[in-house]
Amino acid sequence: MILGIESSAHTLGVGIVDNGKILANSKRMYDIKESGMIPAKVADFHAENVYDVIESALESAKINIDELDGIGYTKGPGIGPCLHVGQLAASYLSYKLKLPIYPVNHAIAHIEITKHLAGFKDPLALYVSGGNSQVLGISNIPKKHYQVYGETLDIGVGNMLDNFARAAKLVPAWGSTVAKVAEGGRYIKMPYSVKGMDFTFTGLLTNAVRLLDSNKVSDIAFSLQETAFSMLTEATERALMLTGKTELVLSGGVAQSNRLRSMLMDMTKSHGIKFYDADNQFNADNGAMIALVAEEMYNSGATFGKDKLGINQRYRIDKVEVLW
Amino acid sequence: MVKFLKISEGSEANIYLQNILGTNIIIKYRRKKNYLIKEIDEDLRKHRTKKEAKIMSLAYSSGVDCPIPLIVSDYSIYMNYIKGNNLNKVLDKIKDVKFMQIGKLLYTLHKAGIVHNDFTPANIILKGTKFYLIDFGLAELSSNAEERAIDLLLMKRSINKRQYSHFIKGYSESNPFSKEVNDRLAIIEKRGRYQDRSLSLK
Repeated sequence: MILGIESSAHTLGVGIVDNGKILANSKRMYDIKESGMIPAKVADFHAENVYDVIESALESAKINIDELDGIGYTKGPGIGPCLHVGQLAASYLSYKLKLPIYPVNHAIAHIEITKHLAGFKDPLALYVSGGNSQVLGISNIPKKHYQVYGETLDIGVGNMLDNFARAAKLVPAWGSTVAKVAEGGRYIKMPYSVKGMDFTFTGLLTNAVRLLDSNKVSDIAFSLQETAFSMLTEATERALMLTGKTELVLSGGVAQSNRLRSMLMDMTKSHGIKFYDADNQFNADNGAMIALVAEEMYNSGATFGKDKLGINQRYRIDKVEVLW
Repeated sequence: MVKFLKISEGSEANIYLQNILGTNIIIKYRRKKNYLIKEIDEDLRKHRTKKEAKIMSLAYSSGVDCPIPLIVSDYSIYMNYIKGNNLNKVLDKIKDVKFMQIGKLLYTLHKAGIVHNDFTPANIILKGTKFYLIDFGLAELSSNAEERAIDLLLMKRSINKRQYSHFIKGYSESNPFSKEVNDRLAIIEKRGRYQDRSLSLK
Protein backbone atom coordinates (compact mmCIF):
# COMPACT_ATOMS: atom_id res chain seq x y z
CA MET A 1 0.00 0.00 0.00
CA ILE A 2 1.47 3.31 -1.11
CA LEU A 3 0.55 6.85 -0.09
CA GLY A 4 1.20 9.70 -2.52
CA ILE A 5 1.31 13.44 -1.86
CA GLU A 6 0.67 15.99 -4.62
CA SER A 7 1.40 19.67 -3.94
CA SER A 8 2.76 21.14 -7.18
CA ALA A 9 0.20 23.94 -7.54
CA HIS A 10 -3.00 25.04 -5.78
CA THR A 11 -4.18 21.52 -4.96
CA LEU A 12 -2.97 19.56 -1.99
CA GLY A 13 -3.86 15.95 -2.70
CA VAL A 14 -3.20 12.70 -0.86
CA GLY A 15 -4.00 9.34 -2.44
CA ILE A 16 -3.60 5.75 -1.36
CA VAL A 17 -3.19 2.89 -3.81
CA ASP A 18 -3.03 -0.86 -3.29
CA ASN A 19 -1.99 -2.99 -6.28
CA GLY A 20 -3.32 -0.45 -8.74
CA LYS A 21 -6.57 -0.10 -6.84
CA ILE A 22 -7.32 3.44 -5.71
CA LEU A 23 -8.39 3.35 -2.07
CA ALA A 24 -8.38 7.07 -1.36
CA ASN A 25 -8.08 10.33 -3.28
CA SER A 26 -8.45 13.18 -0.78
CA LYS A 27 -7.75 16.80 -1.60
CA ARG A 28 -8.08 20.37 -0.49
CA MET A 29 -7.73 23.30 -2.86
CA TYR A 30 -6.38 26.78 -2.29
CA ASP A 31 -9.04 29.25 -3.41
CA ILE A 32 -7.40 31.29 -6.15
CA LYS A 33 -10.39 33.70 -6.58
CA GLU A 34 -9.37 36.62 -8.80
CA SER A 35 -5.87 36.94 -7.43
CA GLY A 36 -4.18 33.95 -9.04
CA MET A 37 -1.53 32.11 -7.08
CA ILE A 38 1.00 33.76 -4.82
CA PRO A 39 3.50 30.93 -4.23
CA ALA A 40 4.23 31.65 -0.56
CA LYS A 41 0.52 31.91 0.32
CA VAL A 42 -0.32 28.66 -1.44
CA ALA A 43 2.60 26.92 0.30
CA ASP A 44 1.33 28.18 3.67
CA PHE A 45 -2.09 26.78 2.83
CA HIS A 46 -0.57 23.39 1.99
CA ALA A 47 1.51 23.34 5.17
CA GLU A 48 -1.56 24.10 7.29
CA ASN A 49 -3.62 21.36 5.63
CA VAL A 50 -1.24 18.55 4.76
CA TYR A 51 -1.70 16.45 7.89
CA ASP A 52 -5.50 16.84 7.86
CA VAL A 53 -5.62 15.62 4.28
CA ILE A 54 -3.31 12.68 5.05
CA GLU A 55 -5.64 11.73 7.89
CA SER A 56 -8.71 12.01 5.75
CA ALA A 57 -7.09 9.81 3.07
CA LEU A 58 -6.24 7.16 5.67
CA GLU A 59 -9.80 7.36 6.95
CA SER A 60 -11.44 6.94 3.57
CA ALA A 61 -9.08 4.06 2.72
CA LYS A 62 -10.01 2.59 6.11
CA ILE A 63 -6.42 1.71 6.88
CA ASN A 64 -3.95 2.35 9.63
CA ILE A 65 -0.82 4.35 8.88
CA ASP A 66 1.33 1.33 9.85
CA GLU A 67 -0.03 -0.63 6.90
CA LEU A 68 1.73 1.60 4.38
CA ASP A 69 4.69 0.21 2.38
CA GLY A 70 6.02 3.39 0.82
CA ILE A 71 5.56 7.12 0.30
CA GLY A 72 5.49 9.02 -2.99
CA TYR A 73 5.59 12.76 -3.56
CA THR A 74 5.68 15.15 -6.50
CA LYS A 75 9.26 16.12 -7.29
CA GLY A 76 8.19 18.49 -10.07
CA PRO A 77 7.46 20.27 -12.32
CA GLY A 78 5.57 22.83 -10.27
CA ILE A 79 5.81 25.84 -7.99
CA GLY A 80 8.90 25.60 -5.76
CA PRO A 81 7.51 26.53 -2.33
CA CYS A 82 4.45 24.33 -2.89
CA LEU A 83 6.54 21.33 -3.96
CA HIS A 84 8.67 21.78 -0.84
CA VAL A 85 5.70 21.25 1.46
CA GLY A 86 4.82 17.92 -0.14
CA GLN A 87 8.43 16.80 -0.14
CA LEU A 88 8.88 17.70 3.54
CA ALA A 89 5.71 15.90 4.58
CA ALA A 90 6.74 12.82 2.58
CA SER A 91 10.29 12.85 4.00
CA TYR A 92 8.93 13.13 7.50
CA LEU A 93 6.55 10.19 7.03
CA SER A 94 9.28 8.14 5.40
CA TYR A 95 11.65 8.86 8.28
CA LYS A 96 9.09 8.30 11.03
CA LEU A 97 7.63 5.10 9.55
CA LYS A 98 10.97 3.87 8.10
CA LEU A 99 9.45 3.54 4.63
CA PRO A 100 11.05 3.95 1.20
CA ILE A 101 10.34 7.26 -0.53
CA TYR A 102 9.68 7.83 -4.25
CA PRO A 103 10.08 11.12 -6.17
CA VAL A 104 7.41 11.26 -8.88
CA ASN A 105 7.24 13.34 -12.04
CA HIS A 106 3.90 15.15 -12.03
CA ALA A 107 3.31 14.92 -15.79
CA ILE A 108 4.04 11.18 -15.90
CA ALA A 109 1.60 10.68 -13.03
CA HIS A 110 -1.20 12.41 -14.96
CA ILE A 111 -0.63 10.22 -18.01
CA GLU A 112 -0.05 6.99 -16.12
CA ILE A 113 -3.28 7.22 -14.12
CA THR A 114 -5.33 7.86 -17.27
CA LYS A 115 -3.59 4.99 -19.07
CA HIS A 116 -4.18 2.75 -16.04
CA LEU A 117 -7.91 3.58 -15.85
CA ALA A 118 -8.27 3.12 -19.62
CA GLY A 119 -6.51 -0.23 -19.58
CA PHE A 120 -4.41 0.86 -22.58
CA LYS A 121 -1.03 -0.69 -23.42
CA ASP A 122 0.89 1.89 -25.44
CA PRO A 123 -1.14 5.05 -25.97
CA LEU A 124 -0.18 8.42 -27.33
CA ALA A 125 -0.96 11.06 -24.69
CA LEU A 126 -2.10 14.63 -24.95
CA TYR A 127 -1.14 16.21 -21.65
CA VAL A 128 -2.67 19.62 -21.11
CA SER A 129 -2.52 21.64 -17.90
CA GLY A 130 -1.75 25.12 -16.66
CA GLY A 131 1.97 25.09 -17.26
CA ASN A 132 2.26 22.21 -19.75
CA SER A 133 0.91 21.19 -23.12
CA GLN A 134 2.61 18.21 -24.72
CA VAL A 135 2.02 15.32 -27.08
CA LEU A 136 3.88 12.28 -25.75
CA GLY A 137 4.40 8.58 -26.10
CA ILE A 138 6.62 5.87 -24.68
CA SER A 139 9.82 5.29 -26.62
CA ASN A 140 12.39 2.60 -25.80
CA ILE A 141 15.42 4.35 -27.26
CA PRO A 142 17.91 4.81 -25.67
CA LYS A 143 16.06 3.87 -22.46
CA LYS A 144 12.36 3.52 -21.81
CA HIS A 145 11.04 7.05 -21.41
CA TYR A 146 8.28 9.41 -22.48
CA GLN A 147 9.29 11.05 -25.73
CA VAL A 148 7.92 14.48 -26.50
CA TYR A 149 6.60 14.50 -30.08
CA GLY A 150 5.20 17.98 -29.91
CA GLU A 151 4.72 20.67 -27.30
CA THR A 152 4.00 24.30 -26.64
CA LEU A 153 6.92 26.52 -27.51
CA ASP A 154 5.79 29.22 -25.09
CA ILE A 155 3.05 28.87 -22.44
CA GLY A 156 0.70 26.07 -21.42
CA VAL A 157 -2.87 26.16 -22.73
CA GLY A 158 -4.27 26.36 -19.19
CA ASN A 159 -2.23 29.43 -18.32
CA MET A 160 -3.31 30.99 -21.57
CA LEU A 161 -7.00 30.51 -20.73
CA ASP A 162 -6.48 31.71 -17.12
CA ASN A 163 -4.66 34.81 -18.36
CA PHE A 164 -7.48 35.60 -20.72
CA ALA A 165 -10.05 35.07 -17.97
CA ARG A 166 -8.21 37.59 -15.77
CA ALA A 167 -7.93 40.13 -18.58
CA ALA A 168 -11.66 39.74 -19.30
CA LYS A 169 -12.39 40.05 -15.55
CA LEU A 170 -14.14 36.67 -15.43
CA VAL A 171 -14.71 35.14 -11.98
CA PRO A 172 -13.37 32.66 -11.07
CA ALA A 173 -10.51 33.40 -13.42
CA TRP A 174 -9.88 30.05 -15.04
CA GLY A 175 -10.63 27.91 -18.09
CA SER A 176 -14.02 26.52 -17.10
CA THR A 177 -15.35 30.07 -16.78
CA VAL A 178 -14.04 30.83 -20.27
CA ALA A 179 -15.91 27.73 -21.49
CA LYS A 180 -19.14 28.92 -19.88
CA VAL A 181 -18.84 32.41 -21.39
CA ALA A 182 -17.99 30.87 -24.79
CA GLU A 183 -21.42 29.21 -25.09
CA GLY A 184 -23.37 30.82 -27.89
CA GLY A 185 -20.38 32.88 -29.04
CA ARG A 186 -19.67 33.54 -32.69
CA TYR A 187 -16.35 32.98 -34.42
CA ILE A 188 -13.89 35.82 -34.97
CA LYS A 189 -10.71 35.00 -36.89
CA MET A 190 -7.74 34.28 -34.61
CA PRO A 191 -4.07 33.50 -35.28
CA TYR A 192 -3.61 29.74 -35.65
CA SER A 193 -0.10 28.57 -34.90
CA VAL A 194 0.86 24.92 -35.39
CA LYS A 195 4.25 23.99 -36.76
CA GLY A 196 4.61 20.31 -37.38
CA MET A 197 3.56 18.94 -34.01
CA ASP A 198 4.49 22.03 -31.98
CA PHE A 199 2.29 25.01 -31.20
CA THR A 200 2.39 28.45 -29.59
CA PHE A 201 -0.28 30.29 -27.60
CA THR A 202 1.02 33.76 -26.75
CA GLY A 203 0.10 35.27 -30.15
CA LEU A 204 -3.42 33.95 -29.72
CA LEU A 205 -3.65 35.34 -26.18
CA THR A 206 -2.37 38.79 -27.16
CA ASN A 207 -4.84 38.94 -30.01
CA ALA A 208 -7.78 37.88 -27.82
CA VAL A 209 -6.95 40.43 -25.11
CA ARG A 210 -6.65 43.20 -27.69
CA LEU A 211 -10.09 42.36 -29.09
CA LEU A 212 -11.73 42.83 -25.67
CA ASP A 213 -12.26 46.57 -26.23
CA SER A 214 -14.30 46.18 -29.38
CA ASN A 215 -16.02 42.79 -29.25
CA LYS A 216 -18.40 40.70 -27.17
CA VAL A 217 -16.56 38.66 -24.55
CA SER A 218 -18.53 35.56 -25.50
CA ASP A 219 -17.42 35.81 -29.14
CA ILE A 220 -13.77 36.17 -28.15
CA ALA A 221 -13.96 33.38 -25.56
CA PHE A 222 -15.56 31.08 -28.12
CA SER A 223 -13.00 31.85 -30.81
CA LEU A 224 -10.06 31.61 -28.42
CA GLN A 225 -11.17 28.23 -27.14
CA GLU A 226 -11.99 26.82 -30.58
CA THR A 227 -8.63 27.93 -31.99
CA ALA A 228 -6.53 26.67 -29.08
CA PHE A 229 -8.23 23.28 -28.91
CA SER A 230 -8.15 22.87 -32.71
CA MET A 231 -4.38 23.43 -32.63
CA LEU A 232 -3.95 20.80 -29.92
CA THR A 233 -6.16 18.30 -31.72
CA GLU A 234 -4.38 18.80 -35.02
CA ALA A 235 -0.91 18.35 -33.50
CA THR A 236 -2.17 15.19 -31.79
CA GLU A 237 -3.61 13.91 -35.06
CA ARG A 238 -0.25 14.38 -36.78
CA ALA A 239 1.57 12.57 -33.98
CA LEU A 240 -0.87 9.66 -34.23
CA MET A 241 -0.22 9.41 -37.98
CA LEU A 242 3.54 9.61 -37.46
CA THR A 243 3.80 7.06 -34.64
CA GLY A 244 1.07 4.71 -35.83
CA LYS A 245 -0.17 4.37 -32.25
CA THR A 246 -3.79 3.20 -32.01
CA GLU A 247 -4.75 4.53 -28.58
CA LEU A 248 -5.02 8.07 -27.24
CA VAL A 249 -5.41 9.34 -23.69
CA LEU A 250 -6.20 12.87 -22.63
CA SER A 251 -4.72 13.94 -19.28
CA GLY A 252 -4.13 16.99 -17.11
CA GLY A 253 -6.25 19.81 -15.75
CA VAL A 254 -7.46 21.09 -19.12
CA ALA A 255 -8.70 17.55 -19.91
CA GLN A 256 -11.78 18.63 -17.94
CA SER A 257 -12.89 20.66 -20.96
CA ASN A 258 -15.88 19.11 -22.70
CA ARG A 259 -15.10 20.86 -25.97
CA LEU A 260 -11.55 19.51 -26.13
CA ARG A 261 -12.85 16.04 -25.33
CA SER A 262 -15.43 16.14 -28.08
CA MET A 263 -12.89 17.36 -30.67
CA LEU A 264 -10.50 14.54 -29.80
CA MET A 265 -13.35 12.06 -29.86
CA ASP A 266 -14.36 13.16 -33.38
CA MET A 267 -10.76 13.10 -34.57
CA THR A 268 -9.95 9.64 -33.18
CA LYS A 269 -13.24 8.23 -34.47
CA SER A 270 -12.37 9.30 -38.02
CA HIS A 271 -9.12 7.30 -37.83
CA GLY A 272 -10.47 4.31 -35.88
CA ILE A 273 -8.34 5.11 -32.85
CA LYS A 274 -9.37 4.26 -29.25
CA PHE A 275 -9.80 7.29 -27.03
CA TYR A 276 -10.08 7.62 -23.27
CA ASP A 277 -10.50 10.54 -20.91
CA ALA A 278 -10.73 9.99 -17.18
CA ASP A 279 -13.18 11.13 -14.54
CA ASN A 280 -12.47 14.75 -13.61
CA GLN A 281 -11.17 13.95 -10.13
CA PHE A 282 -8.17 12.34 -11.89
CA ASN A 283 -7.73 15.05 -14.51
CA ALA A 284 -7.41 17.72 -11.85
CA ASP A 285 -4.25 17.47 -9.75
CA ASN A 286 -4.62 14.62 -7.28
CA GLY A 287 -2.70 12.42 -4.86
CA ALA A 288 -3.88 9.07 -6.26
CA MET A 289 -1.84 9.49 -9.44
CA ILE A 290 1.32 10.13 -7.39
CA ALA A 291 0.62 7.05 -5.26
CA LEU A 292 0.01 4.99 -8.41
CA VAL A 293 3.37 5.86 -10.02
CA ALA A 294 5.16 5.52 -6.67
CA GLU A 295 3.73 2.01 -6.49
CA GLU A 296 5.09 1.24 -9.98
CA MET A 297 8.49 2.47 -8.81
CA TYR A 298 8.18 0.42 -5.62
CA ASN A 299 7.34 -2.71 -7.66
CA SER A 300 10.33 -2.11 -9.94
CA GLY A 301 12.58 -2.50 -6.91
CA ALA A 302 14.34 0.80 -7.49
CA THR A 303 15.54 2.84 -4.55
CA PHE A 304 16.20 6.55 -4.45
CA GLY A 305 19.10 8.04 -2.51
CA LYS A 306 19.29 11.59 -1.19
CA ASP A 307 20.72 12.92 -4.47
CA LYS A 308 17.59 11.77 -6.35
CA LEU A 309 15.16 13.31 -3.85
CA GLY A 310 14.50 17.01 -3.39
CA ILE A 311 12.39 19.00 -5.82
CA ASN A 312 12.83 20.21 -9.39
CA GLN A 313 10.55 23.02 -10.58
CA ARG A 314 11.46 22.28 -14.21
CA TYR A 315 11.49 18.50 -14.01
CA ARG A 316 11.12 17.57 -17.67
CA ILE A 317 9.15 14.43 -18.45
CA ASP A 318 11.63 13.23 -21.08
CA LYS A 319 14.43 13.20 -18.47
CA VAL A 320 12.77 10.47 -16.45
CA GLU A 321 13.53 6.80 -17.02
CA VAL A 322 10.36 4.73 -16.98
CA LEU A 323 11.25 1.81 -14.72
CA TRP A 324 8.01 -0.18 -15.01
CA MET B 1 -19.14 12.35 -62.46
CA VAL B 2 -15.47 11.59 -62.98
CA LYS B 3 -14.12 8.97 -60.66
CA PHE B 4 -10.67 9.84 -59.35
CA LEU B 5 -8.07 7.25 -58.52
CA LYS B 6 -6.90 7.78 -54.95
CA ILE B 7 -3.23 6.84 -54.70
CA SER B 8 -2.50 7.87 -51.13
CA GLU B 9 -3.92 9.40 -48.00
CA GLY B 10 -1.95 11.60 -45.60
CA SER B 11 -2.97 13.11 -42.29
CA GLU B 12 -4.66 16.05 -43.98
CA ALA B 13 -4.82 15.46 -47.73
CA ASN B 14 -5.74 12.81 -50.28
CA ILE B 15 -3.67 12.35 -53.42
CA TYR B 16 -5.44 11.43 -56.66
CA LEU B 17 -4.10 10.53 -60.09
CA GLN B 18 -6.27 11.59 -63.02
CA ASN B 19 -5.79 11.64 -66.75
CA ILE B 20 -6.91 14.99 -68.10
CA LEU B 21 -6.85 15.52 -71.89
CA GLY B 22 -4.21 12.87 -72.30
CA THR B 23 -1.96 14.12 -69.51
CA ASN B 24 -1.54 12.50 -66.11
CA ILE B 25 -2.27 14.99 -63.37
CA ILE B 26 -1.79 14.65 -59.60
CA ILE B 27 -4.46 16.28 -57.48
CA LYS B 28 -3.72 16.99 -53.86
CA TYR B 29 -7.00 17.58 -52.06
CA ARG B 30 -7.12 18.80 -48.45
CA ARG B 31 -9.90 16.95 -46.66
CA LYS B 32 -12.50 18.46 -44.39
CA LYS B 33 -11.72 17.83 -40.74
CA ASN B 34 -14.84 16.91 -38.81
CA TYR B 35 -13.58 18.20 -35.46
CA LEU B 36 -13.01 21.78 -36.62
CA ILE B 37 -15.73 24.39 -36.86
CA LYS B 38 -16.53 25.27 -40.48
CA GLU B 39 -14.85 28.69 -40.34
CA ILE B 40 -11.50 27.39 -39.06
CA ASP B 41 -11.58 24.31 -41.28
CA GLU B 42 -12.17 26.23 -44.50
CA ASP B 43 -9.77 28.98 -43.57
CA LEU B 44 -6.93 26.55 -42.81
CA ARG B 45 -7.45 24.47 -45.93
CA LYS B 46 -7.57 27.50 -48.19
CA HIS B 47 -4.60 29.17 -46.56
CA ARG B 48 -2.44 26.04 -46.56
CA THR B 49 -3.32 25.13 -50.14
CA LYS B 50 -2.44 28.60 -51.35
CA LYS B 51 0.78 28.71 -49.36
CA GLU B 52 1.90 25.30 -50.55
CA ALA B 53 1.26 26.21 -54.20
CA LYS B 54 3.14 29.47 -53.75
CA ILE B 55 6.18 27.75 -52.25
CA MET B 56 6.11 25.05 -54.95
CA SER B 57 6.09 27.71 -57.66
CA LEU B 58 8.96 29.54 -56.04
CA ALA B 59 10.93 26.31 -55.69
CA TYR B 60 10.34 25.37 -59.30
CA SER B 61 11.26 28.77 -60.66
CA SER B 62 14.41 28.73 -58.49
CA GLY B 63 15.61 25.57 -60.21
CA VAL B 64 14.43 22.90 -57.78
CA ASP B 65 13.29 19.75 -59.55
CA CYS B 66 9.72 19.40 -58.31
CA PRO B 67 6.16 19.30 -59.64
CA ILE B 68 4.64 22.49 -61.05
CA PRO B 69 1.32 23.68 -59.59
CA LEU B 70 -0.88 23.97 -62.70
CA ILE B 71 -4.26 24.77 -61.22
CA VAL B 72 -4.92 25.90 -57.67
CA SER B 73 -8.46 25.86 -56.32
CA ASP B 74 -9.69 26.43 -52.77
CA TYR B 75 -8.69 23.04 -51.42
CA SER B 76 -6.78 21.40 -54.27
CA ILE B 77 -3.53 21.71 -56.16
CA TYR B 78 -3.35 20.14 -59.63
CA MET B 79 0.22 19.34 -60.62
CA ASN B 80 2.11 17.36 -63.23
CA TYR B 81 2.66 13.70 -62.45
CA ILE B 82 6.25 12.64 -61.97
CA LYS B 83 6.29 8.99 -62.89
CA GLY B 84 9.19 7.32 -61.20
CA ASN B 85 10.23 5.40 -58.12
CA ASN B 86 9.96 6.60 -54.57
CA LEU B 87 13.48 6.90 -53.12
CA ASN B 88 12.37 4.75 -50.19
CA LYS B 89 11.88 1.84 -52.57
CA VAL B 90 15.24 2.13 -54.32
CA LEU B 91 17.32 3.29 -51.36
CA ASP B 92 19.56 0.20 -51.36
CA LYS B 93 19.73 -0.12 -55.13
CA ILE B 94 21.24 3.19 -56.15
CA LYS B 95 24.93 4.05 -56.06
CA ASP B 96 26.12 5.98 -53.01
CA VAL B 97 27.58 8.70 -55.20
CA LYS B 98 24.08 9.50 -56.49
CA PHE B 99 23.29 10.96 -53.08
CA MET B 100 25.39 13.96 -54.06
CA GLN B 101 22.57 14.93 -56.41
CA ILE B 102 20.06 14.78 -53.55
CA GLY B 103 22.35 17.03 -51.50
CA LYS B 104 22.44 19.48 -54.39
CA LEU B 105 18.65 19.33 -54.63
CA LEU B 106 18.37 20.40 -50.99
CA TYR B 107 20.97 23.13 -51.45
CA THR B 108 19.01 24.56 -54.38
CA LEU B 109 15.88 24.58 -52.21
CA HIS B 110 17.62 26.28 -49.27
CA LYS B 111 19.27 28.80 -51.57
CA ALA B 112 15.77 29.81 -52.71
CA GLY B 113 14.90 30.63 -49.08
CA ILE B 114 12.73 27.56 -48.55
CA VAL B 115 12.90 24.81 -45.93
CA HIS B 116 10.98 21.59 -46.58
CA ASN B 117 10.40 20.33 -43.00
CA ASP B 118 9.78 16.76 -44.14
CA PHE B 119 12.90 16.05 -46.20
CA THR B 120 12.87 12.24 -46.11
CA PRO B 121 13.30 9.57 -48.82
CA ALA B 122 9.50 9.18 -48.87
CA ASN B 123 9.28 12.64 -50.44
CA ILE B 124 11.88 12.16 -53.16
CA ILE B 125 11.15 10.53 -56.51
CA LEU B 126 13.77 9.10 -58.86
CA LYS B 127 12.75 9.46 -62.49
CA GLY B 128 15.38 8.35 -64.99
CA THR B 129 18.60 9.74 -63.58
CA LYS B 130 17.03 12.75 -61.89
CA PHE B 131 15.65 13.27 -58.38
CA TYR B 132 12.47 15.24 -57.78
CA LEU B 133 11.26 16.71 -54.49
CA ILE B 134 7.56 16.40 -53.65
CA ASP B 135 5.08 17.28 -50.87
CA PHE B 136 5.57 20.88 -49.80
CA GLY B 137 2.78 20.59 -47.24
CA LEU B 138 4.99 21.56 -44.30
CA ALA B 139 7.44 23.77 -46.21
CA GLU B 140 8.14 27.30 -45.01
CA LEU B 141 9.92 30.37 -46.30
CA SER B 142 13.03 30.54 -44.12
CA SER B 143 16.77 31.05 -44.27
CA ASN B 144 17.26 30.11 -40.65
CA ALA B 145 20.22 27.77 -39.97
CA GLU B 146 18.31 25.77 -37.35
CA GLU B 147 15.43 25.06 -39.73
CA ARG B 148 17.82 24.20 -42.54
CA ALA B 149 19.66 21.82 -40.22
CA ILE B 150 16.41 20.01 -39.44
CA ASP B 151 16.11 19.16 -43.16
CA LEU B 152 19.61 17.66 -43.04
CA LEU B 153 18.85 15.78 -39.85
CA LEU B 154 15.71 14.12 -41.22
CA MET B 155 17.67 12.82 -44.21
CA LYS B 156 20.63 11.79 -42.07
CA ARG B 157 18.36 9.61 -39.96
CA SER B 158 16.92 7.89 -43.02
CA ILE B 159 20.07 6.90 -44.92
CA ASN B 160 23.32 5.16 -44.04
CA LYS B 161 26.66 6.82 -43.25
CA ARG B 162 28.23 6.36 -46.68
CA GLN B 163 25.14 7.66 -48.43
CA TYR B 164 25.06 10.62 -46.08
CA SER B 165 28.70 11.48 -46.68
CA HIS B 166 27.94 11.86 -50.39
CA PHE B 167 24.72 13.68 -49.64
CA ILE B 168 26.48 16.25 -47.44
CA LYS B 169 29.23 16.69 -50.04
CA GLY B 170 26.60 17.57 -52.62
CA TYR B 171 24.88 19.91 -50.20
CA SER B 172 28.05 21.70 -49.15
CA GLU B 173 29.72 22.17 -52.55
CA SER B 174 30.10 25.91 -53.25
CA ASN B 175 27.42 26.49 -50.63
CA PRO B 176 28.21 29.69 -48.66
CA PHE B 177 26.01 28.72 -45.69
CA SER B 178 26.92 25.02 -45.44
CA LYS B 179 29.33 25.51 -42.52
CA GLU B 180 26.79 27.39 -40.45
CA VAL B 181 24.10 24.74 -41.11
CA ASN B 182 26.45 21.83 -40.40
CA ASP B 183 27.58 23.44 -37.14
CA ARG B 184 23.97 23.93 -36.16
CA LEU B 185 23.21 20.31 -36.98
CA ALA B 186 25.98 19.19 -34.61
CA ILE B 187 24.40 21.27 -31.83
CA ILE B 188 20.94 19.83 -32.49
CA GLU B 189 22.26 16.27 -32.45
CA LYS B 190 24.08 16.90 -29.22
CA ARG B 191 21.09 18.26 -27.39
CA GLY B 192 18.68 15.69 -28.87
CA ARG B 193 15.26 16.56 -30.13
CA TYR B 194 13.38 18.79 -27.72
CA GLN B 195 15.67 18.23 -24.76
CA ASP B 196 16.37 21.39 -22.84
CA ARG B 197 14.74 23.31 -25.60
CA SER B 198 12.80 25.40 -23.13
CA LEU B 199 16.11 26.89 -22.00
CA SER B 200 17.13 27.96 -25.47
CA LEU B 201 13.91 29.92 -25.96
CA LYS B 202 13.79 33.55 -25.05
